[in-house]
Amino acid sequence: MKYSVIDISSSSISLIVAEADERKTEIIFKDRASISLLHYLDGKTLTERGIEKLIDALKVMKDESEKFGVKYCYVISTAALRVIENCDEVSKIVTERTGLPINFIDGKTEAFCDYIANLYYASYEKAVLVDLGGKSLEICDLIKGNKDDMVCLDFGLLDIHRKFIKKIQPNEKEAKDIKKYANDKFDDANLPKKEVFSTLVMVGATNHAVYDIYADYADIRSDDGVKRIEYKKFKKLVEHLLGDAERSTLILNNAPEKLYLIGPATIILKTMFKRFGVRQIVVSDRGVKEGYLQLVLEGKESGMYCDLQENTLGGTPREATAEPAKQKKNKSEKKSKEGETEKSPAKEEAKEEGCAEKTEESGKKRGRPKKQAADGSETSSK
Amino acid sequence: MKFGILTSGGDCSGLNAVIRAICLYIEQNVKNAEIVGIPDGYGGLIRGESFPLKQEDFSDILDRGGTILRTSRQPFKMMTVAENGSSRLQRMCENYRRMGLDCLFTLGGAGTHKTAALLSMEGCNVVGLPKTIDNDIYGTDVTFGFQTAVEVATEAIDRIRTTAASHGRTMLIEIMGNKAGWLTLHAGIAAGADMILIPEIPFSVDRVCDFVAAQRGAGKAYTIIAVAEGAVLASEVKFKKSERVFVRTERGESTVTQHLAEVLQERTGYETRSSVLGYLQRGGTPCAFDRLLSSRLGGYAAQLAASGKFGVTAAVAGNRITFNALTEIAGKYKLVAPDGDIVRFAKSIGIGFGV
Repeated sequence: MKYSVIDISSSSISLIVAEADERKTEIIFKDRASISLLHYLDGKTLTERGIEKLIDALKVMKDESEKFGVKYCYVISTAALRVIENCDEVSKIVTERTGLPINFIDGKTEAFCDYIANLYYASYEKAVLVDLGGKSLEICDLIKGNKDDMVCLDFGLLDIHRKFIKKIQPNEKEAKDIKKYANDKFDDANLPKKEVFSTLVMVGATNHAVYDIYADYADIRSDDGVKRIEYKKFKKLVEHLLGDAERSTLILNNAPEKLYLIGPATIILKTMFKRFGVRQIVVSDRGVKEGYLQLVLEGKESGMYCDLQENTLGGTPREATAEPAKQKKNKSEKKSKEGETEKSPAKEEAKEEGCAEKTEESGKKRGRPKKQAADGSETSSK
Repeated sequence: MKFGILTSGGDCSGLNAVIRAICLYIEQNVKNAEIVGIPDGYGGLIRGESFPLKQEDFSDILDRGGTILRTSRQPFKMMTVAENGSSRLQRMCENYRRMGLDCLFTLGGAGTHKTAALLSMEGCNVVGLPKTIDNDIYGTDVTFGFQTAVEVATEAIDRIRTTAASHGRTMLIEIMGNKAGWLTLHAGIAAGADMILIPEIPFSVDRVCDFVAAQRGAGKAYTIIAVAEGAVLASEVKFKKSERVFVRTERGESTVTQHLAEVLQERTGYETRSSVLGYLQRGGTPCAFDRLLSSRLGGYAAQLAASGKFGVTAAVAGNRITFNALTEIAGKYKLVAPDGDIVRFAKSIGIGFGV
C-alpha cells in the first residue's frame, strides 16, 4: 500500500511517498517546493495570492502522489498555518479546491514525530534532536525519548527575525541579543547546560538549508553519506553571515526561500553548540512527515486523509478531535510510558544495526486507514 | 516617497511602456512622490548616477522601442567580487541609501531578478518586472517583450517561406533563445514551420534529415525549420556551453544552425539555406498586446510599491496580474516542457522536433 504525506511549513511544502507493507516502510519519492508563505502574508492573514500558491503546490504534489499510485494522502501543517488569522478559511478553501484536508498538529506532536522518525540517532552518544521551525522550536532528548521530555518552545525563527532583526540579515549586536534571548528561553524551559549532549541531530527543511550553506561555504563533501557540521567551521560561517558581502549570494545560491530564517537559525544553533557542549551536529533526512506516517501506521495518529483512488475523504476532522485529541494524546503518552519496555528492543535493535528501517518494523498496520484482509480484499478500519 | 527605476540586460519592446505606467501610477496615486531614472541598468546604480523623471520624459513613450533609461549587462557572478575595497553589491546598496530611495523598480530578465533578490536580501526595497523576449522567467505565464518578438519572428518566417517555396529550398531560421525555446516554439507554430528545434528537446541530425526526406518524398516542395539559437544536438547534451562552442569551432562552424544547414544539404541533396534573425527580434515598437501587458504590469508594480510590498516581482498567472517573491524565482528558469501541452499539440499536427 502506498501513502503520501505533504507537510506545509512556513518556507516550503514537501512531500514523501512511501510504500508500506508488513515488514517495512520504504520512502520511494520525495519532493519539495520552495514557497515562503511569509511573503504572501498581509499582517497575519494569508493573502489570496498566498492561498493560490499553496493550492498550486498541493495540486502538483497530489498529482505526483497519484502518479505513484498512492492510496492515502495526508496533509499536515504545524505552526506555519496554525498561527495565521484566516487559518480556518484557508483550510476550507484548500480542501474545496484540492480535495485534500489539512491536519494541524501541535508542537509536542511535531516533536514526537521527529523523535519517532529519528530513533536511529539514539545510538549516537548523548544525542539531542532539534527542529528549528519558522514559528516554533522543538527539542527532544533522544535518550529519554518520551513525549513528556519533548520541549516545544513557543517561538520560531520568524519570530526571532521580527523581534530582533531590523533589516534582512542580522548584525553583530542583533546576534548577541538573539543569543541572550534564546538562552533565557532555554533556561525558562529548564533545558540543561554544559556537557549534557554531545551530538545534536538537526531535522527539518531549514536545518538542511543551513547544512547546504555550510557545505558550500566550507567546501565540504560528505564521504560517508553522513552530513556533519563541525563547530570551528560553523563558527566561521556565522561570522561570515553577519557581515561579509558575499553572504547574500551564499544564501541565494543555496536556499533563497529561507532568506529570513538562515541568520536566526545559525545563531540559535551556535548558541546550542556552546550551551550543550555539543561536539558535532549531524543532519537527518527524516523528519516530521516520516514520523507522522509511522504514527498513522501504528494507529497513534488518525488525521484526515484523501483516498486518491476513490477520491473520497476519510479520517477524523480536526474540529471533532480537538478535545478527544487531548485524550488521545494522553492515551498515547500513557501507551508510550507503558510501552517503554516494549519499544526498547526496537530501539536497541536500531542501535545495534544502525538501520532506520528497523525502527519502522514496529509500524504494524493496525492504525492504517484500511487494511489488507487475508483474502486480499480491503477492509476499512475507520 | 522616492522611487528609482532601472532597466537591465538586453533591451526589448515594452520597456518604455512599463516605465510610463509606473510613473503615471505614482503621479496619480502617491502624494509628494519623486521619481528618478537610473541610467545603464545596475551600472548606473553601481556608479551612483540618477536623473529626475518628469512628465515630459515619460508621457510620450508608450509605443517607443528600447529604453529611455538605457541598459547594460552586469553579470550576477561579478556582483560580490571585491574591486577597490568594495563589491558592486556593496556600492549599489550604499548608493541606494545615498540617493534616499524608498523603492527601486528593476526591469529585467532572469539575471536581473537574481541581482534584484540580492539587493532585497541586503535590505533594499525592490520590486521587479519581468522583461525578456525569451519568456523564461519563472513564475509568470508571460513576460513583456515576448509577444512582440513572436510577431517579428513569425513575420520573418512568413517572408522566408515565399523564397523557400519559390526555390524549393529547405530554410532554417535561427531565432533567439539560448536556454528556453518559447520564442522559437510560438513563432514556429504561428508561421507554420515544418520542424521546430529548441534547447529543451535535443535533436538528432539523422532524424532531421529523415524528416526532410520523408516530407519531400511525400510531395512537399520546401521545408521550413525554426531553430532556437540554443538548440542542441543530442550528441552534445553532456557538453558544457564552452565545450560546445569549442567543438563547433573545431568543425569550422559558429552555430548549430550552420552545422545543420550544411549536413542537411549534403545528406538530402536539397538546396538548404539558413537565416539568422538576430537583433531584429529585440527592437522596435511593442505590439498592442505588449503595450497593454506592460502598462498593466507597470501600474501593478507601482501599486505594490506604494502599498509597501517589496522583495517581489510582478507576474501574470492565469490572465491575472499578480506577484511572486523575488527569492522564490531567483535563479530559476521557466523552460518548455518536452511533454507539455503545446509540444504535444505541435506534434499532433505533424510538426517535427528532430527526435
